Amino acid sequence: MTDQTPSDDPFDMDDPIARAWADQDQTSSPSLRSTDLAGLADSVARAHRKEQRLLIWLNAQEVLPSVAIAALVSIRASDSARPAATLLAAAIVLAVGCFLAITSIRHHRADRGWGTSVRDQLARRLAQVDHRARLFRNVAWWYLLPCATAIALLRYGAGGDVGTPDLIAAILAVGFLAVLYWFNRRVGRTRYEPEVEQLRALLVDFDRAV
Amino acid sequence: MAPDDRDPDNERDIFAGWMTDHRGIVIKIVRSFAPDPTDADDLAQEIALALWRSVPSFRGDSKPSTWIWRIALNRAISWRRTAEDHCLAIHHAGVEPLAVDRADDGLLVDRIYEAIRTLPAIDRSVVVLALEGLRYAEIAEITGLTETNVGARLSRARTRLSQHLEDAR
Repeated sequence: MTDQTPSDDPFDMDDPIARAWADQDQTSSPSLRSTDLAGLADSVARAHRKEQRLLIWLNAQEVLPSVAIAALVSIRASDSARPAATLLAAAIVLAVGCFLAITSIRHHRADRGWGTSVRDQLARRLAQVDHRARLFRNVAWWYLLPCATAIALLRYGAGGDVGTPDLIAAILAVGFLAVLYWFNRRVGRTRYEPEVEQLRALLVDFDRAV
Repeated sequence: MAPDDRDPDNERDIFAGWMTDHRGIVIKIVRSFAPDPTDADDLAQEIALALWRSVPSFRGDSKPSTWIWRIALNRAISWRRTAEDHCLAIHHAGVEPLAVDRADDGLLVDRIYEAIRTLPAIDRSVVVLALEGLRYAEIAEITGLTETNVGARLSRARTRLSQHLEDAR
């Protein structure tokens, strides 16, 4: 940090840059093309509602299948050789679905710190995006491993001998989970990690002495 | 003016009032941060949507202009031009065209904007706020920098601006 002591007015109006800036509304012609402000407000409100509907849809996509699978498995638990294992599988599927939905809702409803300084808003945004990035990075632990456990428990609950069809099903399941892992890591790497880096760099610049 | 909780008509009026009284803030930020007209379209929409989302949180504790500067600068500084932004722009396609017309007719102010866009993002914000006539304390309040840091950044940025404008002559 330098020892520079600022005066009250950063730009002197004799400065040609400051003069040109102050005169721009009269001399230049930048304008927002939208002159219908009521229409603009309506369209922004529409876009916002659309965003909220999208969030509900995304959450439904996460919760409904897990609830349906858990319900189906629970109903059939009494027919299985080991009902406790089958019910545990259902509980795991349901828990993963709920975790996904809760995380998504918390992320979208998180206090964005409107009205705080630009630096503080960036810090909040970094915390949120970093959390998302960590979820994608650790998808194997909180999503894929529970799902694999649930599949294994279902098979165990069904009882009977392990045969070739089980091996084929296991290979297919592992392949499917591997694709999910690759896809999630890719989303994390391409979508969230660059933003985390960008926000970190901005905050470092904010806090850097000049 | 503070909105009642989730009163859509009131929120709409507040937003329209902001865009009437302070649209110059959005114009200046977009021109200072977006390198081309397509980017300007996207950034202007991003800022409009962020301002709309912020309306329910506005309690009138600060001046509307301060509020708008903070939110708009935050969006502009962290704005990234990626494929995702394109998707977002498509997603926001319902927003009325809000783009900033670029005169780019060789006026000094156009060259000033060009010079500002060569500065680092935070210095850019400080310069725009200073050119708007805000004092060091106000710039520090909006950005979250210390006043001394604002002064040092401004001094450095002013030298670079003058140099750029000299070179462009």
